[in-house]
Amino acid sequence: MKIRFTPEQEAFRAGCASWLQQQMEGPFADIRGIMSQTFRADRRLEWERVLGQARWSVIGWPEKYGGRDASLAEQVIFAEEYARSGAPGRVGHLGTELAGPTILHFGNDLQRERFLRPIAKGEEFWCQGYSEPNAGSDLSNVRTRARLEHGPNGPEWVIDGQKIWTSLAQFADWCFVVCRTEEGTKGPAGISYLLVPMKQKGVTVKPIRQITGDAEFNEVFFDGARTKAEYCVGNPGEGWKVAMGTLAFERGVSTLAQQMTFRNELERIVEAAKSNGAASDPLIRQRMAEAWVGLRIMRYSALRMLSRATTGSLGGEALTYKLHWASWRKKLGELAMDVAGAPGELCVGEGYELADLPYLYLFSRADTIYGGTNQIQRNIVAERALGLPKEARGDR
Amino acid sequence: MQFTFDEDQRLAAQSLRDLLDDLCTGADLRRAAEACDATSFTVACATRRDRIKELGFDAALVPEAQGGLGLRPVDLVLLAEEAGRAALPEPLVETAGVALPLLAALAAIDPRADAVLPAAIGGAGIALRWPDSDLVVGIDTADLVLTAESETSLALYSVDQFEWVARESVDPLRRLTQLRARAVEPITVSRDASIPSLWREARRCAAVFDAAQLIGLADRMNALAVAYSLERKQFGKAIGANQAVKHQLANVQIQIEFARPVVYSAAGSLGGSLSAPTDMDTRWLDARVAHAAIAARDAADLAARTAIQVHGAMGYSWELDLQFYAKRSWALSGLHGGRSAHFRSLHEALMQQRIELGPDQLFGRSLPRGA
Ligand SMILES: Cc1cc2nc3c(=O)[nH]c(=O)nc-3n(C[C@H](O)[C@H](O)[C@H](O)COP(=O)(O)OP(=O)(O)OC[C@H]3O[C@@H](n4cnc5c(N)ncnc54)[C@H](O)[C@@H]3O)c2cc1C
Repeated sequence: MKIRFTPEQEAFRAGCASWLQQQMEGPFADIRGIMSQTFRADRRLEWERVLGQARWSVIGWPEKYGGRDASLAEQVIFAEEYARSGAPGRVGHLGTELAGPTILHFGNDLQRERFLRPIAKGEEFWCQGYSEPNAGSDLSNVRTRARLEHGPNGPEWVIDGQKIWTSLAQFADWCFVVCRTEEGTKGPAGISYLLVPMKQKGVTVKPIRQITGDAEFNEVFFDGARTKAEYCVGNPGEGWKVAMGTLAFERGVSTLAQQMTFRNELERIVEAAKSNGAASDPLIRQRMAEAWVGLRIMRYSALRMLSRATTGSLGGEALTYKLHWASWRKKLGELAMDVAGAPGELCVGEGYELADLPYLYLFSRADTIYGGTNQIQRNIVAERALGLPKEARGDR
Repeated sequence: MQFTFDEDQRLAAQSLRDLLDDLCTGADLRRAAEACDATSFTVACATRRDRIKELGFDAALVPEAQGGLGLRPVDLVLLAEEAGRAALPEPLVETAGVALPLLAALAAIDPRADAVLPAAIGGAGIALRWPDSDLVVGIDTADLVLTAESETSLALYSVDQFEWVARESVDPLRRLTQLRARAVEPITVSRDASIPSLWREARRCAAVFDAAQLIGLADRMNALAVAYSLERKQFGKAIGANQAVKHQLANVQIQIEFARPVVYSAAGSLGGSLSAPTDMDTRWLDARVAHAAIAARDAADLAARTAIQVHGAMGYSWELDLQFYAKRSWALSGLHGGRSAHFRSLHEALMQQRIELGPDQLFGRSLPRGA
């Protein structure tokens, strides 16, 4: 078991740390430490482009697509340094961490050529069109449908239906849409994975406000929206496998490095507790210590998974990871609110602007919901890792 | 002590519940939350406010000799629960449970306060600013303000002696304001020797009534979650059919039902007229109040967490009324020093051996009167 980084890796760490520090203390100081996903969006999009130009956006990708061929360990190191620098959450993450890896893995050369470089450069942004009003945990219940049509622009998919909870759709140029392309099919069969341009007449985006007051997610309506026939990842009707592959990216590598963000959050809480006196309360002290313990567990688990992963992908333990961090983060949010105490009730600015700790509290309510709820994650661990019988559906 | 309420107590609670079922629905709350300023908020809530006044609960705890109903705190606890269940924006509980009884207690020792009391009982709004906070709820509808620099004095002002700025709360329905004094002329200020104990008792009442509101809030949130789990289908069946969902909801209800008697018995131990009951050690009383606050808060906390989870992404959206109840719970949970302060009270009571342990003590003595 190897849980130390090599001297080369440490040198790599120093390199990215100094670049990030320069950016965050210099040109992008105004967006340092922002927690909200949508605050100062235009500057955040600019930051994505700067990351892309400097080739720091998707370092794990092949060089020819704008990456650095970085190893898994290096990717984690970069992500750690990224968080340590106080750089804001990535508005481009749906492209860099979900759409991109999916296209790299499951796409064809034409799709890789068309889509990867603009993602890497921060020129095209993406959103995830999975959930629908009646397809949340039960994703295979999607009703959005697409049919092939031979029009004046050659063969095209014509898409009708509705997605919901689509994060960052308001900034997106493209959406990866899970939809039904074979009429009369049910469940995973007959689903395709289409790449659909957002800026077109047949696509309407309506923001949905969240309990935090932000509107990060949206309803997306497809009403005769179109995309080229060749923008189907995997074979038509076999998109379920691809969709699950994307989820593995969402729940896997990209979350390993979140710990540094979490560490920053815990640090903010500890600082606040020291300055407002909450730290003298034994109950709060104990919970801060427990949070630290949970964070270390995450770190060791991540290092363990990394040291086992030889092929650039993760093993079965990764299944448990989302469950662990999501539950931990939610508790961290509760600690934040208790540390803030009664003054935490107050907004700090016009229009429901929350201070960091209350924001963290509200924001962390979602951790155990998106990317597969805790209940669904437990089913996955029980069924896939432990081999327990599958839960019966109610209808089939 | 009997943990049952009498007919009058239940009827009073039912009458408030009926009224709020009618006039304090999720849609009403949303309208109020979306009111763009204080005036339109006041307009949005006017009918309900008037109807609540007509029920005449404001002076419930004011002694009969002073023109009130002469009821005891335990008589108000179910009403507070109903106010919580509805996430009532109006400060009914704050007025009837704390501010008006405090004014009446002041009036009993101070003639100038006594002169104002009839107006307050007659419906003039009264807001309370705790000595350790500069925030006030319900100033928009107040005519009088009770406040103090410290807990050794108590002053009464006309509201026009202050300027205030609205402070937005996490709870969009809590109309918080920060008061700033002008060249302030109090109607009266008292430094009577009994004032510190009045403040202490007022705090106990506030903590218990907030606990009762939290029970109501928790109950409402779990009811919403249960209803949604029956209605929402995934995998071809109601999500509530899954044991993982069912058990979460059952756990919440268990926690609520075990918190209820704790809150009721704490209310039963509070004395009338803001006087601590003479036959009870106040440290023991503080422990009961703290226990109620902790039990209710923990139930509301679990209820909110569970209800959001059971609603999935919907539970995370502003569009869902659940947020009003969840956010009110969070706001109330942090008051009176929050969970930590209440645990400190319990520790103190235990460490100083004022709570006597042992079966004969646990079940025999120190039981509250009244309920
Ligand atoms: C902040 C946020 C951002 C999001 N961003 C996106 C996005 O960009 N794109 C996108 O497609 N989606 C997005 N989502 C949606 C997310 O993927 C879904 O919320 C999630 O899959 C759950 O679906 P649901 O909300 O419909 O809940 P439901 O599936 O209706 O679940 C409701 C409750 O029932 C439970 N439940 C359901 N089935 C079972 C079962 N079989 N056993 C036990 N319990 C069960 C769930 O655990 C949950 O507690 C986002 C959600 C959030 C909160």
